[in-house]
Amino acid sequence: MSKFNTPTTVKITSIIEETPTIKTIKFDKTFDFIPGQFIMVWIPGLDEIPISLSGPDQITVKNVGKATEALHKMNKDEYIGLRGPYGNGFSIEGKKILIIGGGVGIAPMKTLAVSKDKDITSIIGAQTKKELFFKEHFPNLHVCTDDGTEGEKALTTQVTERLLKEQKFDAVAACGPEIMLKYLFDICKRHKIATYFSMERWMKCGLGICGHCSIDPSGWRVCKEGPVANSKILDDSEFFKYRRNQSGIKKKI
Amino acid sequence: MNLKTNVSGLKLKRPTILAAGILGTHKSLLLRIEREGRPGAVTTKSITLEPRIGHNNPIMVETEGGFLNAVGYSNPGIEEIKKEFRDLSEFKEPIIASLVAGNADEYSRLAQSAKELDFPAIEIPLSCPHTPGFGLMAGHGTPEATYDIVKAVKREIKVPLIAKLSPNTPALGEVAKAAEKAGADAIAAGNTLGPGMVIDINTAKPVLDFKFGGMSGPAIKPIAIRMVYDIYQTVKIPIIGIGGITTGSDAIEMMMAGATAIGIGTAAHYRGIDVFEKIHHEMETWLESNGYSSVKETIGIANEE
Repeated sequence: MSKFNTPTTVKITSIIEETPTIKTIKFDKTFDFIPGQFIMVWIPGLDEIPISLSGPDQITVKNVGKATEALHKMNKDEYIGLRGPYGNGFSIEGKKILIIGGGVGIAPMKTLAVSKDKDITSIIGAQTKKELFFKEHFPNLHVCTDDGTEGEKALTTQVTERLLKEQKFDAVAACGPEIMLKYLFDICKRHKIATYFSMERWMKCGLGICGHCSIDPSGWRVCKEGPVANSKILDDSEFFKYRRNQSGIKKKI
Repeated sequence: MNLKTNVSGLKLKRPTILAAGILGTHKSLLLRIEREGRPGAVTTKSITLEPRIGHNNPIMVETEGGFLNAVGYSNPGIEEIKKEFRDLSEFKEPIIASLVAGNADEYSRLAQSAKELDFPAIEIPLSCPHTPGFGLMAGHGTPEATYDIVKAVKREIKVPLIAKLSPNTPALGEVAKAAEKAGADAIAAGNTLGPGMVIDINTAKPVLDFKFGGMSGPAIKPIAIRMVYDIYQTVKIPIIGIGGITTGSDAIEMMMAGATAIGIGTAAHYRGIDVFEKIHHEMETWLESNGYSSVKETIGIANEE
């Protein structure tokens, strides 16, 4: 009898190179999920890491370390272990939403961008043209790159500031590097707009029992009450200030 | 209903304790457990002299009636812990520090260092089944090793000392007696069972990174009950019963076997952070319907020789 919190091994059905550093891995399993939820991905014999779903049967992963490097080297018909979906996902009140994806953070935001019941405007940003992906999925899209090779030569924060001045949104939803989210949060606070960010912390069990991913000072568990944090959780917390490493030692961001 | 209990001077308003290793990593999380769950006390994640990254993921896997875990004592080390836990004044109930080391000498140094903080009780696990250099993998499960370690720690501290034993110990009664003789103020019975394994047949690989892991959860409750029952007949010091307790009736069953207080861990997954409060209500209801006026009256009543 398979258990919910044990990896189910399934075959990889296809691998798509989205950018030189990012690949989408499709697998032989369909998750019934809420945009923003994640799964724990077991690379058999190596590691298990949390990755947001970029679709019911896929994850989109950047090569940043040993585990993701191993994922990138995998082939069709090889087995990976999956369990989930975990986390709260995006639950956004209001109709007119501004969605922002930075770098590989574009991947989970795609699942929210395809929502039929919201009036969505999108911003996606990357270092350079080659690192952009999933453009076709984002409605009312504003593209920006650090080097100006596509779209505006700007940061997602700068485009956000402009759009928030020009239009009235009910909420902002974003995923990307924590340093990007830090500046984005300041902008959202100034505009007093409902904010939903998908956050990350070092995860071990992924199911809310080990405590490793919980944040100060609330004890909010990224894997269980998160990973999507609203303004109340983001404000006056360890987010944007420090995070804990594999031993639990605090490190400045 | 009087749910108070006293574990050798560790006074608890309610008889439940958050077990070590569950949601005990950060001070802010322990405070949250205290607020939302209202256990009688909380226990920290086990602390070592040096920081430890522990085992890689997967560290946990679900099984029938429970989980296997092989966390590997990951923790920031006593120096970081002393910074984070310097101010314990926000805790309304006792916070027990779990200290773990590789041998009696290291235990002694660790206890000396921890003394700088005001933890009202110390727990020493002599029982982890899956971390090289500690617990059973370091031979701590013998009466001799138990005596040496308990004595070494007792020399350093003034607060109640709890020795946490393993259900996997063959000479359990002897080990418990050795702990008592060395000055332990209470026995925590027990730790995870096994260790066990889960193998994925599609890849022919063990799932846990460490391959083996200790078993916890409802499936091990009968083992924990028997452990408490045996130790109650062997020592006079109070026992904290730990293992598979999920409901109020489980808790009463454990106390009737001989436990003075109950450790709860995996049940926080099945029933939420407020599992402690749920268990308290269930205990109260049962005790009232069955003519008891205090939970203390149930201790050891199933254990008549």
